[in-house]
Amino acid sequence: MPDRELLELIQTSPEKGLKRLIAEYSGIVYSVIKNRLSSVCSREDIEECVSDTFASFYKSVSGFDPNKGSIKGYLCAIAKHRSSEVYLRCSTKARSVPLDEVFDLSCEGAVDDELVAAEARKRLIAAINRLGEPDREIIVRKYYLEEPSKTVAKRLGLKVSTVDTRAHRALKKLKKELEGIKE
Amino acid sequence: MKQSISDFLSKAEPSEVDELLSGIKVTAQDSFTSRRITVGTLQKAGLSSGADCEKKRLSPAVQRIIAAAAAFLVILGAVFGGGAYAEAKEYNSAKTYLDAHDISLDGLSHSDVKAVYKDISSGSFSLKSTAAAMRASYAKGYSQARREMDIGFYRAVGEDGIDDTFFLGEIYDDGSYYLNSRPYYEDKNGIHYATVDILNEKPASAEAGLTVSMSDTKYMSGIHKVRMGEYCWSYPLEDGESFWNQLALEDGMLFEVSKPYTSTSERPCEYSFSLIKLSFDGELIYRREHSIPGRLSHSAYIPDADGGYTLIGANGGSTGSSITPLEIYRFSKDGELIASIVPEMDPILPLYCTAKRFIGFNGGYAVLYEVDAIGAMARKSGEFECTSDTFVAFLDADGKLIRILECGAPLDRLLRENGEYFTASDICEFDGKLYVSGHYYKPLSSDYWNGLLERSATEDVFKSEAFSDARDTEQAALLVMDTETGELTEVLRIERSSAPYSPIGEISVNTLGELEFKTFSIEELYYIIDASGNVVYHDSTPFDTAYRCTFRCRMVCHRFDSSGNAPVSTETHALTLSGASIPDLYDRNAMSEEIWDYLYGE
Repeated sequence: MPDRELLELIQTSPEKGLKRLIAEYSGIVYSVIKNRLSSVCSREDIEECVSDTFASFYKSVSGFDPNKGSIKGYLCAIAKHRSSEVYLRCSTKARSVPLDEVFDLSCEGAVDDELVAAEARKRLIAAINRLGEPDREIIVRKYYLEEPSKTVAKRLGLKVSTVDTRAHRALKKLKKELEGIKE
Repeated sequence: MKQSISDFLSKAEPSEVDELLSGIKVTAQDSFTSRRITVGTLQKAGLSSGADCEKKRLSPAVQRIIAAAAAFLVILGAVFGGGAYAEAKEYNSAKTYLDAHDISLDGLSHSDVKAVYKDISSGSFSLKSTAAAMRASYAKGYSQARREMDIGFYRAVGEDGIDDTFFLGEIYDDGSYYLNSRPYYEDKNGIHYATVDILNEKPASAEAGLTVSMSDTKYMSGIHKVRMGEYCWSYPLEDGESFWNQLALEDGMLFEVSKPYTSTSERPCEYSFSLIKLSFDGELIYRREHSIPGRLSHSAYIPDADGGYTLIGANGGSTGSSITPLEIYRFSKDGELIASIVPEMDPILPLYCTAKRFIGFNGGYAVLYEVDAIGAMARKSGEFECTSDTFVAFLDADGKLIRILECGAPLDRLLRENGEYFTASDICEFDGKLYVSGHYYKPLSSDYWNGLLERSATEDVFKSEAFSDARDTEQAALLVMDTETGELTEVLRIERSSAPYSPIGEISVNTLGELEFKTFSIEELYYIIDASGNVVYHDSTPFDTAYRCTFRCRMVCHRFDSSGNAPVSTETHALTLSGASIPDLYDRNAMSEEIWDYLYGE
């Protein structure tokens, strides 16, 4: 259902609209949250976080600006934010990250952290989109949807080792492009 | 700025998320997880409908009886003692027995459970706690089979979360469904217990040696709401009443209630008919009794703009009275009867027929009927005779029967040969002709299936044999009829396809003026496995077996123009369905978003 019609439905018939919203997007929202929280939370907590995401969107639907993204984009952004909060609350130790997944994307002369982050992220996403398939999809699934390599491999019909190898090479390429530009 | 790539991406703005996820598909959730999320979200958003279910409490008097009995039994237990192990064993035996006989354990202490068990199994039925436990059971409206289905239905199976247990009734989006009460027997001491099958006078409890007959039975009649396996509330009905049909409306549930017989009369007898509208919390909105004889069971509900509605259906009638093929009743928004059309005619149609679809046609109606009871004999009266299990009845504006078009298998099983049968799904008027959709099939014998399934334990026979045989014996088809005479003029068959399950089999006219016919084209069948992953065969109906069948199909939409000779275009979609052997085409998890949008998108 187009976003405009869905929004209209939420506004004119909230319960129906919300049910339709969940029917359309619970898959992606659940995926985003579950992949982040499955190591630290129970299934019930994950489902609660999903419900919170939809309820949060519903309560702020009047502020939704279609020029800034689709409903799907909004929901995923809320889901990421909420799941990060829950993760910090529930995990007892810091998440360890392999070195090749760490990017140094500071901008020269920038003084505002938020602007820096936004600019860095923009460059990163643009670089990811230039990777070509299936590397782009592998990177998005592994590092945005946070799917394990096994799941990515199954979805793309590749071997797990192929996914890991391609992900490693893609990260190297991204680093060279982005940190290299800085240099 | 140093961060992990995940952390960078996790703060993506909505428009950036759209960029990232462009072209990336994610599997939808299973329907059970989806339902739980829906209920939770509606509650958080302050939009719960029927989400708050308070358990119906036992009356204070009953509570006092149970408390007193419990206290007494606890004291007895403490005085006489017993080893912990022996006690646990005895308790487990008691619990197993009571569960098997559908006696509620709510409110019963350990000692109560054992005492009630002894009371029932010995045939004494002398304890008030036994009576209280049984009354509580009836209030819940459970049966053992239903309980197993309830639990099975809401239990997710594994990571992918597909539960394959069949459920016989309708479950609504919030996980709720509605049950009728079951009859019970009250003995001279006022003790109640359930009857297993009052029609055949079977013993209620083999151990108790009870046998009851119709004249002994009573009803604690009621409509009971259950949600997510939990009992919500009961709305009491009058002695002998039960609901035959239900409709979920925006502001509550509408029940068609009939009284087939009373506790003091023989069955069947006079029927009565009431419309009861309840809120989702079980509060009465209205109850209207109507002098509509027989057993009306609607097959179409048409809401009016002013809140009223029209019910259309067949009337099963009662002994000695006419069976009418079509009755049309119009009600106000408060359930008052405004108008009715009840054709006067001799009973000429088979018993237990259900109006599946109806359309306005030539100023009157064309109604697609299906006979429910296989083996029912046709009756002949006047100039009409119907011997088919699926037929179209043409009625004039007053609902009077004009003609019948038969399109199904022979009604009498004795007359059937091992030939080809047709099952109808839908009817539609298009370009001056009447189309009936459905599919032809040749039933495969149980010996055939037995042989295949026995071998399936060691061979993957389904991949080639069973599937190709089944596939080659089914064909979706359109029957084309002349609108003046109702005569069948043409049959359009679609090779290697079938149209058995709604919405597959539906026909409609699209915005381009084409007739669309959705069919099923099965490409490959893989295997049938049970919940444990073993290839199995179960010699019973699917209602009490959980098994899973995965097959890959193509859903094909054929489009016809007014020449109607062959499809002018087709559109196919790959479809992978996992679920019970009859695919659940209302399960969003069973198909891709693309298919879902195609079938149900607006």
